[in-house]
Amino acid sequence: MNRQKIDKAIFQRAADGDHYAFKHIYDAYRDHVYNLTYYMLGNENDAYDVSQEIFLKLFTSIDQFKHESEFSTWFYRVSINACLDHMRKANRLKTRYVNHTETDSFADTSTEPVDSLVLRNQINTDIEKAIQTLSPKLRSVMVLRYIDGLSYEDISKILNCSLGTVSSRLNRGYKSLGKALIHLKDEI
Amino acid sequence: MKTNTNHIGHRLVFYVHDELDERETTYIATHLEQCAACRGEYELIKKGAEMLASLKSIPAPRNLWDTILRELRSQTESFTEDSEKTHLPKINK
Ligand SMILES: [Zn+2]
Repeated sequence: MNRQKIDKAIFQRAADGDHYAFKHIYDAYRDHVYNLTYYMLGNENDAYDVSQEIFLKLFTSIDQFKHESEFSTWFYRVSINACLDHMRKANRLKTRYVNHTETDSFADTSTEPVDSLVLRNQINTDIEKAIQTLSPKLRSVMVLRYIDGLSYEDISKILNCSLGTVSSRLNRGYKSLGKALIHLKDEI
Repeated sequence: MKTNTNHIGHRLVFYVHDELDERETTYIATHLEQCAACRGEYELIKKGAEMLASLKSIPAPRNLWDTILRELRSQTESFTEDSEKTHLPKINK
């Protein structure tokens, strides 16, 4: 996923309470945060509520940041923790079935033949379900890697663990996904 | 090596992402040719990485920003005296 870089001045303006600067930061991160919460929590309602909670938290803490690098580490940490808290509160650590029905808002799929679109949606649902079977720890690493192509080093800072732990969890996460989805061989 | 076998272990993830230097890449490629166990692991990890990368991005719902603004406004109204300190956005009504 691509993300627009945020200029230093925007953080200053946001810290001064500038509405447009907040909107700018929101626009740069909204899809990343929504995808993070969606793939962590596995459904649209929870993703919506927790995304809202995350941005509200951001708006009351923005004055702590001067640069995007320190900001994004903090922000992704807050986002992951908000998801983990939500799971704990809701006692939803068990495997869940994900019913994803929103098919009209995906980008760049409108010109594809219907059969291919149906197949891709089915594959996406299968991958979603497989992600939901991973433990929250493995899921966090996978989702961070997915939403912003974050490096192992960035992920280790966000999750406050070693590089070895990140690569080992990513290794295990990929292996579980691969095992769960081996039947999809060569369909993509 | 500290691992109890000479298998590749979780360094396979770096190999899959092509993030090793030439020497290590050659070492692992050679090992994979000779070791069925690691080759099996490698196939699964590669598959999992491909699956994750192929996941569709879901756009944030359009009304999310409005919901956030509404919530901020209600917080600003109930904490008018603290709004300077908490740096809530100034909302044009
Ligand atoms: Zn081996």
